[in-house]
Amino acid sequence: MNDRPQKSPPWLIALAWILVSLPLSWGLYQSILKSKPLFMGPAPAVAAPSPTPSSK
Amino acid sequence: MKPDFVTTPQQNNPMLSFLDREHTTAPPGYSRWLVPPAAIAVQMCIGEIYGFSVFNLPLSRTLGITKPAAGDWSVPTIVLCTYSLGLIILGLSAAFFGKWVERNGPRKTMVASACCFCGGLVVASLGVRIHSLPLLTLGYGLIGGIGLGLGYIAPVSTLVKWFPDRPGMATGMAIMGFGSGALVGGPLGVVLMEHFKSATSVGVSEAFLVMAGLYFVMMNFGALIVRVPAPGWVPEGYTPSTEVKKLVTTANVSVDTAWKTPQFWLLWMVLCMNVTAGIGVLAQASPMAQDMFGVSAAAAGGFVGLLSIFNMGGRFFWSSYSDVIGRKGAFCVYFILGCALYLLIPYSQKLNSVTFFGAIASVIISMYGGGFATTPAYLRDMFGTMQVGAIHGRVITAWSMAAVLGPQLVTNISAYQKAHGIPKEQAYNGTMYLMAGLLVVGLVCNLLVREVDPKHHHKEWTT
Repeated sequence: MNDRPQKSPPWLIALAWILVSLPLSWGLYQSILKSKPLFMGPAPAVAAPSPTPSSK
Repeated sequence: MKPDFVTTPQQNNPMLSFLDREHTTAPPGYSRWLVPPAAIAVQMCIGEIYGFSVFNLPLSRTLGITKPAAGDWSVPTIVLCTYSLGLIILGLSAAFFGKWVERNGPRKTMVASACCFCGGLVVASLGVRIHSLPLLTLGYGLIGGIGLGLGYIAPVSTLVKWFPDRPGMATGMAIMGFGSGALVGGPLGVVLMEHFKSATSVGVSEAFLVMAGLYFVMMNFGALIVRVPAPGWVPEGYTPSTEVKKLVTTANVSVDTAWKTPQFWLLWMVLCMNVTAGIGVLAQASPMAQDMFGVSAAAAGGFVGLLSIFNMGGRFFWSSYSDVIGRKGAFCVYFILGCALYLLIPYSQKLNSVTFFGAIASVIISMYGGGFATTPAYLRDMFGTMQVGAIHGRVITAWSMAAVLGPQLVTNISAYQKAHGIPKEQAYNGTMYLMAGLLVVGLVCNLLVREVDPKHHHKEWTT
């Protein structure tokens, strides 16, 4: 009989970390995308529909 | 090797006994590196509450669909019944169920947390579908709030026991998971609402249902792989330090005794002040960036996202760093550096430097997160590991208090200043000085922390 303790398989440890890292990385990517405008300087004014297009 | 779930002969219901603490004891050879992902899996799901704001506007037009109609809920009502109530119940349930959590172990607690949090989402989904505010409140605020409290404290004492060599890093990883909830839950909610919205639905009800299913799977995955260490287990190659450290006890204090000690209330104040001050920036980040620097609403939204990243990263970084400099030292850094940075915010406005402001706010928020993550390790140092989860549960009530106090202070003071003719770009200065003052109070409380009187030590339990 083998009395040596059976170690947790490395693939299980890797799988567990991948399972939590995937959504985390996706969320991180989304947040970085969302924060880009902060570093891109003032946004150009959005052209609002105006009854007098030629007015400045 | 005998599987760990059949080690105890008497089993009435194998399915339920699988959840018991005694059936969660790790077999020899089990890797402790499976426990942090188990904790993160649960915390990441319940941390969704931090990203709840993406549902506010859609929920305010569930009848009108494209714009609010008569009978639709107002945003303040939605926030009160879901987000605020959820956080209050989180603190209360963590305090109330702390001893139950210690008795029943992490697996049963994580499953109970999954049932409450995801069940609450299902009830809330029904509430949105039939437009019932009481049902939404019951589901997200009450039932979901209990799930939050259970899930928040479930893995803490387990991680502290698995990582006696690096308790700060261990709790940092778990609490970082909660901070990441906003990064995952917010965008996920937006994607799901986009997918399900139609001419007759804003997509919130369907999004809640899908999230309940996804979170239930994720949280139960965490429950499945979590284990508690066998009594007397120590990491390979680790020899407990024989050097006596003044603020790191080797004794234990029961939860019923701990909360009667001055150390408990000092740490309660330390957490409360740190959180109240952090919320000062977090709650007002978007309007502050717009009012003080004139950035667009989109850029201000991005700024909030940036803060979420630092909130998450700070939980791991600062808590790990506290393993090096000690918990008291770490909180001294949060309070002294935080105080200095708050005082610099009005200066950043004078310089009109949004980059400088962003850098300051990011460091402040990283220490706000760091305070959350360092607290369980601080409690472990003061009161031992025996009932640290239950003690943590009671200290968490400080967060509930801060969640109410912080935003109220910031909103009312800035509104008062604006009403008294102070230019909007300077209306936040008073609030920043107040936050710096709160951090000074926290610093004093932290400096007053001494080791627990040995008369409070538990006699039959030693680490």
